[in-house]
Amino acid sequence: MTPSGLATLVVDDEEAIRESLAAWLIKDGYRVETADSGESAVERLADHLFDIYLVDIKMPGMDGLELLSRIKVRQPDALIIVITAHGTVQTAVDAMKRGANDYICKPFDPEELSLIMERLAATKALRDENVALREQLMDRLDVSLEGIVAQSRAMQNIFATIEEVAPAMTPVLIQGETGVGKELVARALHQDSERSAGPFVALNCGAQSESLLESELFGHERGAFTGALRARRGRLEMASGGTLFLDEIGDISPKMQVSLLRVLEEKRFQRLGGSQWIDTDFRLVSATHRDLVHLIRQGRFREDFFYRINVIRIEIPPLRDRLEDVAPLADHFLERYSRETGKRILGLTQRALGILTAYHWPGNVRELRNVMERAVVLARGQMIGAEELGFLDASGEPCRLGPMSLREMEIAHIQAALDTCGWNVSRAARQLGVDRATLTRKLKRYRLQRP
Amino acid sequence: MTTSLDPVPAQVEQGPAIALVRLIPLGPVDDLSCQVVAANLQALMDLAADILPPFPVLPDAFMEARRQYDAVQLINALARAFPGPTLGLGLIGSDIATPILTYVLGESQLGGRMAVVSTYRLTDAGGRRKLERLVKVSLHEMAHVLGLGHCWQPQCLMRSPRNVAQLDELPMAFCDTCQYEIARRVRNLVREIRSTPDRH
Ligand SMILES: [Zn+2]
Ligand SMILES: [Zn+2]
Repeated sequence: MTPSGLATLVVDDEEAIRESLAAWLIKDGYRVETADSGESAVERLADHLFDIYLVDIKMPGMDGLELLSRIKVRQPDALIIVITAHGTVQTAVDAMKRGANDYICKPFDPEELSLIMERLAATKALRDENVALREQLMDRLDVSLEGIVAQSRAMQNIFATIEEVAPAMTPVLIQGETGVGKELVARALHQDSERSAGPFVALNCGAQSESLLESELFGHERGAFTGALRARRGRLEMASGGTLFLDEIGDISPKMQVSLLRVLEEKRFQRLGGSQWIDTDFRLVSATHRDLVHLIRQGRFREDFFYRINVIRIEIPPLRDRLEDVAPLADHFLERYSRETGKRILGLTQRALGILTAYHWPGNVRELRNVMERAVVLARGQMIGAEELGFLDASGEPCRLGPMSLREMEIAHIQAALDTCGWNVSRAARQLGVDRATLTRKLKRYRLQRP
Repeated sequence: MTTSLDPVPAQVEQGPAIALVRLIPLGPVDDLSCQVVAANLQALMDLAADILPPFPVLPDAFMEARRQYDAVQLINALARAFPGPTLGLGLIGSDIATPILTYVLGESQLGGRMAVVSTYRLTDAGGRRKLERLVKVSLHEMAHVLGLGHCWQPQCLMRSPRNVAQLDELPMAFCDTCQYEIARRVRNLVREIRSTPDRH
């Protein structure tokens, strides 16, 4: 453990002690300042904090114990070693009770001093690592919750519902098209629940074969089937004490629905190939883009299972039904990707925003995110303009009108361009990336006329 | 001891050899110890050393209660007695300590001029390792005097040994980085000593 640059304050009224301790620490790579009294140490604290404090207990005026308490108030995670004289162990014990990390009797054994300092440096490094990890985690959560950046009334209502139902253990069914951010809502439910400290375990049921899904959920004992070389915990087990999020629940077979129903009712299950009952206690949040009621009518989804998972329903509207959310989401992604790519991009031009809000967004928020990522990569200037969105179908109409031929799409696209430009043919041609003559020819061929 | 990073010896580019370090026996220290330390300072650090006649140990530096000499006070006394830019290394047979440590093998002014090394705790049963240890501690302390802090490379004399056993595990060599830094600082020292009109 290298102490490289840890800021250290040595507080001692005896100059010889102060100076030789400082000299020792400096040789070992610490940054060292000294103070000759508790009072001057406190003054120093007003200015800046240190990683490690070495404090003499016995000083005239403010003593080490008092200083220790003052430091702890100002900086609860301060690392403090108190320096005592031999025969004053009781004071050292008091100091430890008040939050000192260690104590050392002067004169110190050189090995002991090295050891204590190394231990502190290691503690500090570990703490820093934990802080970094936590920040990383929050970053990731922040990123994953970004789907919930929203202004629309519809989404505000969803936030309110999340807040209201999150604390309970009630199963929640989230309905919405692909890409609207169902997992983000599930995570938000978990975060706001009383089990937020527990695990959030997600599984996409649509992406797996029936047998794989079964062993993913229930786990298996060694030798339960060919290839089961060792026992494995399933998601039902891992989610205990937290939230189990099953995405694409509409895709699971009626047989699996029965198995899951039993787990939900009995709160226990057996691993594949196992005979032992394993208790589990999780909150189930499931999601689907399918119309489950329709599936029930077709006999493909069990009604009893549906009522079990559908206690509270949250429906996330598609992005095209809440276009007010497009601008804040676009800004959000723009900021994120310009940060990631190091490009300085200030925003979207009015026209670019127009294109985004006119678009149908079949892939919802996920598609918008991908579009913004691509636009940032393509961007040459400080603004994202229509040029950067050229790969996006600007008119948006084709999707609304359903399947069209290429010819129909071209007509609709030209029509849209002309509408946007108030039938200024030169400008519309520029926007479409063709010259005026070409556009005029097309207008004739498609018999497009100014309304 | 040569490494690929060994620079041009500082003295070669700048004329005839002059002493950069004074080796000062504090009380009785055997000639062989002094000669071996001097030879190694020259060989490993390019520090030419003069061995001075024994210098009386200051009684003021003796801490009655601890029955040890205060290394810091010895160093201060040496600095007063031998002014000028030339470095100094005191060798002593008695046990030494600092105000904060129960004992030290050596002590030095970081980036200053003086160091002191004690042979007291370096002796072993057969007496074979004593010289090797003395050289290691001397080189380590003189590198501190040149301004080097501790190094965290496993195979470097500037690692801070916690005890004599760890000292024995260290190689008799600096890592490339420390070696380079030593050479750079010795060159500066040569320049400084040459430009001082009244050198001893
Ligand atoms: Zn050292
Ligand atoms: Zn080194």
